[in-house]
Amino acid sequence: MRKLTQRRKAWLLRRAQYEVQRRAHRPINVMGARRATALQVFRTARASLPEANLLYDERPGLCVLRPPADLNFEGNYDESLAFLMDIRGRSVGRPILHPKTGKPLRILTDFAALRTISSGAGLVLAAEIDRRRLVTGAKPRSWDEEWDPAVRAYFEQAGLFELLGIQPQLTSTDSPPTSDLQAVRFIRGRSVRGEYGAALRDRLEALCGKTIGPKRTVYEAISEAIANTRHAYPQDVAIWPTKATGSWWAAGTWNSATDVVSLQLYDQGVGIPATLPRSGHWSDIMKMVGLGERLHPERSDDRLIVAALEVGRTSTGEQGRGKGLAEMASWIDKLGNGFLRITSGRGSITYRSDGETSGTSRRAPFCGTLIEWEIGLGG
Amino acid sequence: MADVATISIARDFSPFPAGRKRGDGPFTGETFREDVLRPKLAGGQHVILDIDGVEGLPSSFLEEVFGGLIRLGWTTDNLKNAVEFRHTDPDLEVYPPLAWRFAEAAASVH
Repeated sequence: MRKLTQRRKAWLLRRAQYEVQRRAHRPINVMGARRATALQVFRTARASLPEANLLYDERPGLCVLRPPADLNFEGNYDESLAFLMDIRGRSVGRPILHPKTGKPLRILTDFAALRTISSGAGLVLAAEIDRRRLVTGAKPRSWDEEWDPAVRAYFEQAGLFELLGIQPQLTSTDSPPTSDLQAVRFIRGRSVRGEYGAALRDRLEALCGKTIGPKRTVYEAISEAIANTRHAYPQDVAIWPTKATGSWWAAGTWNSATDVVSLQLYDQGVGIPATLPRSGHWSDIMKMVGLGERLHPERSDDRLIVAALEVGRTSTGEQGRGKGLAEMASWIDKLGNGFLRITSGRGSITYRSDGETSGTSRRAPFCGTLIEWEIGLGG
Repeated sequence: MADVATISIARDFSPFPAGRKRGDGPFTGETFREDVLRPKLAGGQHVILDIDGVEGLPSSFLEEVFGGLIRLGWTTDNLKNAVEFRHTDPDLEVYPPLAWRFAEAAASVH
């Protein structure tokens, strides 16, 4: 063995001293406390939703997690969110125990039970599997030959198999699309790049063969929605499970039967209501929601989002979040039809082209923020 | 008379401006303001800002450029004297008044 030189010894000593000092000054268990809080929030939310649809497989050591037949946040919020939370929680959550033997079981997810899937729910599902794949390196497997053809066609067209690193068992030639719904390829990003907004707009227009709104307005609406995701992952708030990728996902569809175009953008962050207090418009938002709401310990998130949107539409001070939300709505305003829906926190709001905004308060907070535009192209 | 510099956002920066802070992405308002616009203004040049060819000017981008200059100490009048918009596309006529509104709003709270 080589003898250490004096210089090398001194270097090792300095490094050890530095490391001791660095560890001494690190806040003890700060991140651990944040993770514990995030985990508690997750478990509380999950407990308020319907129980998992589990099928105890005949094979030893396995159970099958099944989605609701209709995966859709608008009409089937609780069951759809419960299923997605079960997917999120299964890699790091408490193990599922066999009801008779008490032995821990490995969980498989079987999508064959899925009959309809909304575009927004499809994107959120794909994003969740994608997040898990990016963080753990686990490669999902597919038994898509058993899937409903419409669900499989949506996954294939939107490029979701590719996003998830799945080699589908069937190809489009084996099973031609049976649905009127056609999808554009998803985009996943981390930063705000205007090219993404332009690409989504152009892909949708190529798919439906029509313009989907004033060119610059659509670009700005999508770009602002992407910019909004930069607030979604504050460093001092943990999102369980940790190791959020900081990404956003976007996709779009065209229904050829109804001539309706939709575009969805999703992030897995803390949600708009949680970030509004940091906004420069927070005092204006608080004025708008009213005294009762201001004093209520659990302000309804849908009212907060509606207020933020309204503040953005009426104010000229631009340092806050509201202007971005208002710019997302301007696509609907200028086109004169359709709606913008924002699902975030415990709230879901729908802004319509006549300027009316309606909100729904949910029992459990949504796993991030989903922004959806839907517009009719028919005369 | 001050030197005149022409900046085309689409050609000299990007046709896809978006985002506010430098860390948000590659072609944000702060990046444009600090790397492209402000050096010209600091040199005492009169800037003609050509906005033809952009995909759009999202409000977070535009506010960070013009509201940001106000927060850095410019007055609205000085800014209006130093920067002049130019475009041939009539669809772009909404942006100059919007930019000045952002500057005025920033001045009112600054």
